[in-house]
Amino acid sequence: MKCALLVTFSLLAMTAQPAWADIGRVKKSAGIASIERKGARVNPAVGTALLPGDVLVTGKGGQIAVSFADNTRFSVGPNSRIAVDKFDFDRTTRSGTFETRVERGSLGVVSGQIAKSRRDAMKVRTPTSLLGVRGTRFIISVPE
Amino acid sequence: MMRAGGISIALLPLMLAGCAGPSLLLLDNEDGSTEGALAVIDEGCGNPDGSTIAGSFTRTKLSGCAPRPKGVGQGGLKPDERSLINDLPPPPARFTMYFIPDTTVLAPGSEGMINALAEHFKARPGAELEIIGYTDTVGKAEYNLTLSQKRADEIKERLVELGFPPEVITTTGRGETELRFPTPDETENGGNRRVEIIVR
Repeated sequence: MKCALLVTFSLLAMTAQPAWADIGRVKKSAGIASIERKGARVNPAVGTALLPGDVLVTGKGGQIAVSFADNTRFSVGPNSRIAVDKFDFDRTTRSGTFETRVERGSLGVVSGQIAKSRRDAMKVRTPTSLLGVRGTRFIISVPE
Repeated sequence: MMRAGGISIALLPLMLAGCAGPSLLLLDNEDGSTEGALAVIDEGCGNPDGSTIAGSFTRTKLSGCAPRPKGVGQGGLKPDERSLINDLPPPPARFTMYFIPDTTVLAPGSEGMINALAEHFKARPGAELEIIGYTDTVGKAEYNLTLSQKRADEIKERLVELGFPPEVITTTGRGETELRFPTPDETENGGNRRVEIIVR
């Protein structure tokens, strides 16, 4: 029960972003997979542009691979909910902020230019912790 | 009383399984170097610098403020973790093309690069291009900023003519900043008169 309560805790941080900001693209998807965007479901076909606030959702056997504008790369495993809460990237200065929430499931990450730009410019939230990414390749798992 | 106690003991393993809890598996960098790290930075932990988690091929339970990474070794990845890594998009590819001084005309040796780029693009599902223009240090900085943008735009135009979708191409001009070969001002340098193309 405690775990369930912790999982449903952090829906507060959705900052408004300009709708045109294309922050990344789907490179691959398979099985049960979708993008939740403002209450609607978008099919994650190869080439689909991502927007800040998008939630990557997969079911059994599902998978989504994404590349972001700062060269960060994501691989979303099955039975997952991954929210891209915030993504600001200045192509000229190659700096920005990037906040992702792993609500459940698994996420493989290779961090990109935002993580290099400033300490803890890239953050990943799990139900039990907040992580600052200091440049690397890693996997976050949040079992149900 | 006795009975209630019996039930909670019976449920305990189940609850623990349901609470297996979030974890982090830290891998090596793609180039095999090991400098990567993350840090637990919860404000409630009272450690402004965060508690660092470092070390390739380590697994860390994400609870509390003092993470304790455990080594798992390269062979310690579970099958689903391996497939997660295999399913990552490939690293970005880079192409560089050079220009004739003070023009947006490609140097003869760089012409063939356009076709190489087109081939690469086709083989990469969902690919997008970032074209960044640069100049050498001959001329004023503002002039060069404009020239570098024109170089990037020129290459975009050529690619669109070849059938590249314009919406997947972004262009930026950076003028005489980020010289590939550092030179004094007002120095002609073919290696600096370039566009760099990142395919992701």
